[in-house]
Amino acid sequence: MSQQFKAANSEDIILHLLDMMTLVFHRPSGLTHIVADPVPAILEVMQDGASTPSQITAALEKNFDLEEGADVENVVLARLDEMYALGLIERVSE
Amino acid sequence: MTDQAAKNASQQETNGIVTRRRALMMGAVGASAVVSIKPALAQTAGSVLNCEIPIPGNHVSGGYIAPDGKIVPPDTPGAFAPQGRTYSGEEVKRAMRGSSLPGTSYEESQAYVNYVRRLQYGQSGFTCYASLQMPR
Repeated sequence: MSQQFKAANSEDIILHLLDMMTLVFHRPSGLTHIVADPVPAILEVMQDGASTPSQITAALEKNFDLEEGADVENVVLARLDEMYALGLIERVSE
Repeated sequence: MTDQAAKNASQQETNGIVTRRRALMMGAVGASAVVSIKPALAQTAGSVLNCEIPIPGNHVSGGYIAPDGKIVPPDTPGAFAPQGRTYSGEEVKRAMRGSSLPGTSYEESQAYVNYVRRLQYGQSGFTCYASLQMPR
């Protein structure tokens, strides 16, 4: 029974790509988040439908060329915790 | 794997069109990847701790606060009937370090502190609590 998450709607978010990072402006809160990879990629696959940590991991592995030996699932879990704590994603109750 | 197969591992071929997948750095599990800029807190350092946290917030109607900070039905054994007052960020910060919130016993104060730790984005007091976590 995996926890499901939902990203903010794409119309509520403005992404601005900078060289080494991405700015994410979240309209409803007026907050700006400075995010590094893989956060924008996680948001992207969530907006395409991935909602559990394993679905997100699988989507990243499918759509991106990841570095050898990366502990993808644990990195995804750690980043989801951060994104949740800062309001970029919400938990979907079961 | 042959050289050609290895090259193809990072490419996908659909209808004869080869798309190279973007490289994505995953980073380390423990390395933070998000920093937030909170315009409401662009104040003098002193006033950040004057922000307020109501205990409980207006999303709680009639529930009691359990020692672990969860909201439970009234009269749950061991849970505290909330006094329904507001504390400053400074008071909550001190309570998190061991002193008690004004007007509360140690156990009640710990329950309230745990309640604050469980606050979610969007609930009253969350932004004030989040600002307590930010390094100065």
